[in-house]
Amino acid sequence: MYRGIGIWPGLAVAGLLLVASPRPAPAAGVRCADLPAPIYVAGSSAAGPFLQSLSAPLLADADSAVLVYQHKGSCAAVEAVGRDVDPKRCAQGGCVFGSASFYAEDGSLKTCDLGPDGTHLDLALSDVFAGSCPAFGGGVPKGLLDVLGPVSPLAAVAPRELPEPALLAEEGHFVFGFGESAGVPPWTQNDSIFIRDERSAGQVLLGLHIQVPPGRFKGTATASAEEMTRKLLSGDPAHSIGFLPTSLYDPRRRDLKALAFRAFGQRYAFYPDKKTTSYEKQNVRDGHYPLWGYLHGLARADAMNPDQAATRGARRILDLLTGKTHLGALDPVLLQVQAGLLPQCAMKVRRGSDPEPLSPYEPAEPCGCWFDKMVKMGTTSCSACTNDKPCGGGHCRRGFCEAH
Amino acid sequence: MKRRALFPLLLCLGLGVSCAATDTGGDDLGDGGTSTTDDGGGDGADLGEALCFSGTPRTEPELLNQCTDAEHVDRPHRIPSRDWDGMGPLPAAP
Repeated sequence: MYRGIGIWPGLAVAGLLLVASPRPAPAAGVRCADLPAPIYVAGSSAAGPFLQSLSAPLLADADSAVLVYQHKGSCAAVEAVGRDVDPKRCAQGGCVFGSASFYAEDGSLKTCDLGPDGTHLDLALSDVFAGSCPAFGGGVPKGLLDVLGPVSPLAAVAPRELPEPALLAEEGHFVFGFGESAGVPPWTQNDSIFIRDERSAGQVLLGLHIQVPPGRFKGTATASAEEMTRKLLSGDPAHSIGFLPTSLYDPRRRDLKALAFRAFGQRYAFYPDKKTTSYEKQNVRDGHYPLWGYLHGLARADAMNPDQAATRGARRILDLLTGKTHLGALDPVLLQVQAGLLPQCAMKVRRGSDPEPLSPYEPAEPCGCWFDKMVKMGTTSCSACTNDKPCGGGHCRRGFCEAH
Repeated sequence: MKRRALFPLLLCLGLGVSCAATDTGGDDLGDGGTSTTDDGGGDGADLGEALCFSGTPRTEPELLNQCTDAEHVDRPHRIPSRDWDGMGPLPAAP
């Protein structure tokens, strides 16, 4: 047991941080259940940077807790919580097994062992609606709470050396739906076309926009976004292609490039950002770039109060996902922006389900000016303000004049 | 000229759109007089001869094609003509 190793008291005092994408050290007999107030989360790799940024403050909080995260495909995580219908044991298909990750205060990534009979998840994080997952075509499973968080864009990515700047939807259909046999240059080698599986949100989302069912992708399977990144970086740069959440792509821009994407019915291909060198995700926010999903938090609903999650751990993370509560002095919405996610208040478009067409969106309290300023290398032409006075008919929100 | 190269050319000529093999730019989709003044309202974005949609976008096609100063890429598809004629329905993935 971890407590018996002798280093536990120090770590417990210092605090343990959460998960991320680097490969953790093998579990060394550390039981996740022995960590202080563990909150069990699994799912989207796109959420990794955000969860990592929450870890230290969660531990430092008066109500200290350790985030324990298992990277799974989004839909696999939704299944793990959706099928977990018996609180006393792990029903078939429910819970998570094996090992999970957390960060130590010194920044090192650690692993811990989940329960031998499985561990109930507090929360699943998914970049797609439950109804887009193969197992839940009918929508959100009964007894689950689905909370919409920030937007998580997806990008088709290639090694930086690849001269090709764009992927057209119809090309994506052939490249990922038929593989090398389609002969679409430069993606003419199956061992350089990297895919995930049908329970990966990236594959589900991209599949919707290139009209390929997520279970029919062709190419070389990778087990995680991390593995896909490694293969893209070590493969043939003249022919490689894959897809990653932009929250994971953006920090790798020195080695990888996002391809502009042209949707069906679109005249030009656009990047997620206004420029290949910027980070403001203008085209995601205004509707030129449709490859994105909401980051959903899915948890078992409280039987007595179905509008709230059953566990305290889930409620804490859901409140941070929606920006409902601060974490000490930290603004969780700012943490989302710094982690590459787009708060809904910065969006000008929305959709009610993943297959649904985009439609205009006016957030109740827009934050586009603030978002433009807060992203990496961000700038804004909006006026700074402390009250509504200098904003004409608009409102001062988060320090900048917004139109309404 | 091969068929796969001919189709995009005809398409581009018909639409009146710049058809460089690969054109990346960021300043030709603004409100410079080349965009349509159609205010939309239908199910699609009827761009006609215009480069972009300059009305108030209400539908996905209008949002996707609204005028912008963002960088973009303009090139024809590179799908071999033996696989797709460029117009008909896409074949189902096996």
